[in-house]
Amino acid sequence: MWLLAVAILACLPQVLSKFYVILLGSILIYGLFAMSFNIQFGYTGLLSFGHAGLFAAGAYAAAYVLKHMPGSGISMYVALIFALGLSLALSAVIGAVCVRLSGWVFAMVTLAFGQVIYTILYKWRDVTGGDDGLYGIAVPKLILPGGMIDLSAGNNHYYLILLVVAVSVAVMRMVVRSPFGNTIQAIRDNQTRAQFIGLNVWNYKLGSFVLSGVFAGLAGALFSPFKGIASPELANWAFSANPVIMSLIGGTGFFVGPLVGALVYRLLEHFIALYTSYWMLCFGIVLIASVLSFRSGITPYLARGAARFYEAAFGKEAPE
Amino acid sequence: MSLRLLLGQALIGISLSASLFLIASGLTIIFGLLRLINFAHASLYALGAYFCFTVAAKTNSFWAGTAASVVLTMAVGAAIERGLLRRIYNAEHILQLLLTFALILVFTDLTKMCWGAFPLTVQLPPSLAGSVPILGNPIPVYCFFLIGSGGSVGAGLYLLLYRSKWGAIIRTAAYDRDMTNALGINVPRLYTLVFVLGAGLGGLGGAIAAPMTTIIPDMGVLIIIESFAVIIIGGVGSLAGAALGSLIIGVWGAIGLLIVPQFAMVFTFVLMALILLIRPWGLFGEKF
Repeated sequence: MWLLAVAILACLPQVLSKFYVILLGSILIYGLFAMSFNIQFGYTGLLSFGHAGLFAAGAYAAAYVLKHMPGSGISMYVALIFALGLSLALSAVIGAVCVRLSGWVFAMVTLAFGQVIYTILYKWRDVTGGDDGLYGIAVPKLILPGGMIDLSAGNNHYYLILLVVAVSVAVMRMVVRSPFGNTIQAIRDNQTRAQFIGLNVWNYKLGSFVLSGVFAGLAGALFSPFKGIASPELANWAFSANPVIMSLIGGTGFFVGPLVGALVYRLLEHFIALYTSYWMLCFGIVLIASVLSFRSGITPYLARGAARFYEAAFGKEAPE
Repeated sequence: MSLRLLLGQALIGISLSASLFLIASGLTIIFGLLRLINFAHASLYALGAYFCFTVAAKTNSFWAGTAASVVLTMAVGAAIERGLLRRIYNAEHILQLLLTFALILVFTDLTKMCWGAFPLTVQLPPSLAGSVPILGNPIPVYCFFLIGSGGSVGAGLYLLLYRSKWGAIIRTAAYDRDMTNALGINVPRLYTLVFVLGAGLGGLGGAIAAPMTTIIPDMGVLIIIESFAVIIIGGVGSLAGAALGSLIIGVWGAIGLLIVPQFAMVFTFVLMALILLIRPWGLFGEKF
């Protein structure tokens, strides 16, 4: 099932135009961002309104490295490692302050930290380029065991994103199915009971926060080289709405829900942008509607439809 | 940096505190009864400033603008509570948070549609223009007006909540909703009234902040984050906490502006993080 999905995504560039390949690449990045958010939200029950801050930290870290050491074959690796390190450090510090807070306060304080990161990016002109952001990032070359490949050629950049996203999704799947994953879900369902059986819930929550932050940073690190720019808006509160909406559209109770949500959301955004510039209004209404009515998101409906299609086509029960 | 300058800046800080208190007190009284953090308070604040701009421009009177903002934001608050929030009081808290967050998105774009994204300004009323020298620092008269407004709203809320029959009812309903309902008090209506009162305070905060800031669609989110810091430091749901918290944030922020002008906001949040590490429930809050 998973291999099939990756294989389809790998073949799609052959039939799509360059424009849609770029759209698809950004959908994958947003999907990774939303899935990282859902580890916190869907699996641990922590609602963060500042997740964009960590995404932006990764984006700026990668952009900074690529801007200051362009051309070399290892620069993309250094960029990814630097982005991971920065988002790890930031989420450890922010998480240490936040995980002990209850739902309301957690949401408020993460929003505040997101805005602090935004302010720093906006004001620290020497390093971050201020409101211009870091632009003109050279598309790097990449040293692989088989030789050097040029990411700007063909669809190579898209394949790099697909590879990184697929590996990250596999890692996240392993984590949520591990004892650690079961524990954070237990804490989400009933924190008091989890404490009673002797679990140190703060450490587990911190672990989930950091894991989620690191993958958000990784998504950011893929984003800025792909777009060629890192701008402070990436850290703004409005950008933090993205993973929230994508997770809710797709369904927070499903592992791939946020990825499906990202696909639907980005396609909708793409078509809404043709008619109006008021996307926040549109998605605010979508968010209100999904809070008031379909709380499970659309993934189960899609899955049921796909299963029915599979039964009709092959005449037997669909695998999961 | 001389002591004289520091004192002058502290006085300006106190006037910022008063302005923050208006917003934070609205958030905190809504939380006190409804157990709900209203993220959309940011939008009510911005709407207050926009309503004030439009009415003040039409009538040429800042006071008419302020009065109109309070009434109009109360009406918007009533619509939000009756139309949306009421449906999900029994749902998970996280859904309520998401709903009020979605409202910010909607209102930010609606204000952009109605007034455009360009910064707008409101003229100071002539009676409050100018400044008086205090210890050699020229302090704008408007600062004293802000301090007066914050103080009188604080005193009014104290009398309402702790010295009146209505306050007793509100506090009882916060303590035990079902029992209060059983005693014959219309608790759903009480929820609406308190929400509307809080919304009006947000609108008032926006209206009287309008002459000293530029009015942009995002303005609510920028100030609401500081108000969150206020109620987190003070303890969510506590009126005294909101007062002390806004004094701390206002004065600390104003002095931070002297020391690290670029990163005053970061300066504020370092303080908030420190207080949270020591007392996660805030200075006056209940442990949760």
